[in-house]
Amino acid sequence: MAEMIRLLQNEWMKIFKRNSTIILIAILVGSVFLFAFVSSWGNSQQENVPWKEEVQQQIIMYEQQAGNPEATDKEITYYEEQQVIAEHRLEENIPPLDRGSFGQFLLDSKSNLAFATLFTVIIASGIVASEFIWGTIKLLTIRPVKRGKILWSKYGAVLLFSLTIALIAYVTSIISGWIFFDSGEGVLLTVDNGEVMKQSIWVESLKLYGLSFVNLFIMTSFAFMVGTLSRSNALAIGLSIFLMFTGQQMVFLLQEYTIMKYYLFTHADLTQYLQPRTLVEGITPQFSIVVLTTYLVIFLTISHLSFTKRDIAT
Amino acid sequence: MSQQPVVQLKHLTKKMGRKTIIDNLSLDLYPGQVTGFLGPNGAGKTTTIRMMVGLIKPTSGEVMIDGHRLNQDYTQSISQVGAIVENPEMYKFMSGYQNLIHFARLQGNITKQRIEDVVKQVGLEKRIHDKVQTYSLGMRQRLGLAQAILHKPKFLILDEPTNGLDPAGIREFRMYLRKIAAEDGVSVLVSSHLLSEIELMCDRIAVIQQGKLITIRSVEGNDQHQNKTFLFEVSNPAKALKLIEEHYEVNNVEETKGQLQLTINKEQAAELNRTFVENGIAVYEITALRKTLEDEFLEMTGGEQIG
Repeated sequence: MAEMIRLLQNEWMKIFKRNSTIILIAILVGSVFLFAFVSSWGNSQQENVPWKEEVQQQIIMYEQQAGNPEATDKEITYYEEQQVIAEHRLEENIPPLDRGSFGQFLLDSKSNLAFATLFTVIIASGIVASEFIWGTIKLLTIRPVKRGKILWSKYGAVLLFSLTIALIAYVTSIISGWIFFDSGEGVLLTVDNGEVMKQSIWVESLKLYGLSFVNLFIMTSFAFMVGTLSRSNALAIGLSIFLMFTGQQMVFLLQEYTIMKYYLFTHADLTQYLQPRTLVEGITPQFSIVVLTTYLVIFLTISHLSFTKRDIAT
Repeated sequence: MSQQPVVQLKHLTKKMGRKTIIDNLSLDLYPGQVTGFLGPNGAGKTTTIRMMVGLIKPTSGEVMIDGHRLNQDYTQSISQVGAIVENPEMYKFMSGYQNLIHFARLQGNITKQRIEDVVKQVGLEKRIHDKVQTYSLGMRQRLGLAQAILHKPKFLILDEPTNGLDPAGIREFRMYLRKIAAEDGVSVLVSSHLLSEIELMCDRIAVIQQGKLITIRSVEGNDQHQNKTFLFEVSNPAKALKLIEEHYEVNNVEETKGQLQLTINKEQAAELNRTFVENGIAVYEITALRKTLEDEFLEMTGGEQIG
């Protein structure tokens, strides 16, 4: 254990002593602020519709959706719940979160994690590959530490880095939200066992960030594997980013085929379970977790075998 | 040598595809001995060194270090090895000191005091907190040596260690190697293409060619009875030549520009000098022409490029 901590310290040091890491973090923080500024400006340009009118329109839409003969049970439940919430708002005079409010901004800011994935992918791709590119892999592995442990310390450092990045994204969103948005009067409502309850934006935003983090985590692990296999960070970064953008498109194109039930990107975005419809019909959160775990085990096994068995030549 | 070898290479063979890179190579390395490792480019020196530190697994045969089998008992064996493999590549974005901290953490049980001592030993105290990217090649070599000796290994492998060092640095380095070999009983393997360097630094040399060990022998010492080629510069070469023919059974005397060249041992050379002087021939200069390691090397390897 003490050894693992020392190895992690080493990897952490190698990540943060590089200027490029500091620049990446600066870009992330800057982008979150920019995103906050642009959306607050965008909102200020929009006309304000009285919230009661808006909610009444929503109720009509929910009724239609729930009454649709093609709607699944899940969709019907979802729209009925939404309808209950909307009616509750009108009865009790509780406005929803205003678009220009801090709360709504914080919930929307989870999309910053997708952006942050770019940065964790860069670090994960390079953490093994760079050692090969720099030639330092030789001095790193001729030590009284098993190669497998070195690899695990690197993966551990990548995970810690991902968590740090997610935390930075969250905290920066809170700070920029405070600066650019008003707290607003709206309240988030949810239905629990048929009863309408208040939901804290903190709990809700952490839930969204947590679910989105799974996607980041899977992509980062994938990049880690490709970097370890190819020993080239360019390939790993390229491939991971390509999949980030095209992976989910494939689900839409091929959703008719059963095989897509076992496809990584059908499951990588867990926030789909907060929506009335999932990417592919008939999947459950439990099933998604099983599929994602299987992929993860495969990625890590391949990385481990490649790193411990292959010769280090040239 | 009666001592147990620190390192044993036993029938080491490495094949890549159909090509045999290292062919049944066996070699023992003893404590306190500095061994030079020579061979033309592509002979398999680097592959052998990589197998000795476990970067490459041999196709057959094995490496024993301090009584442990490298491939079975990796952490035990490698804890007794310090090495620079090819270039001393370091993390350039960190300081020399941070690099040493990094390697110390991998070794475990290395105190800050030990790091400071090693930094002093390799003469980097003034620059150790600067980033490695500002170092000269010589300084990187010094840092490379520092990381290799940090844990006081019993076996030290140095690949081209004097590359980039200035003459004073090379001398200092040579003295240091001799010192740790003599005082701490460290076994050192040095590969270099500077044959004159190897000659000064090593007790013995191992030459490999096309993946096979072709020679292993001691570096020539000052043997009283071994014949060497001597060059005599004298005032009267004709008379001198006559004297030689009268008094000695030497048949391969050559005369060029007032110089006589013949192959005899040290004792005979001294005697010949006396004879010349007694017979009124002035001796201006006596030079022992030693066959250099380079000549021998070229002879052994058939004049292939040295590397």
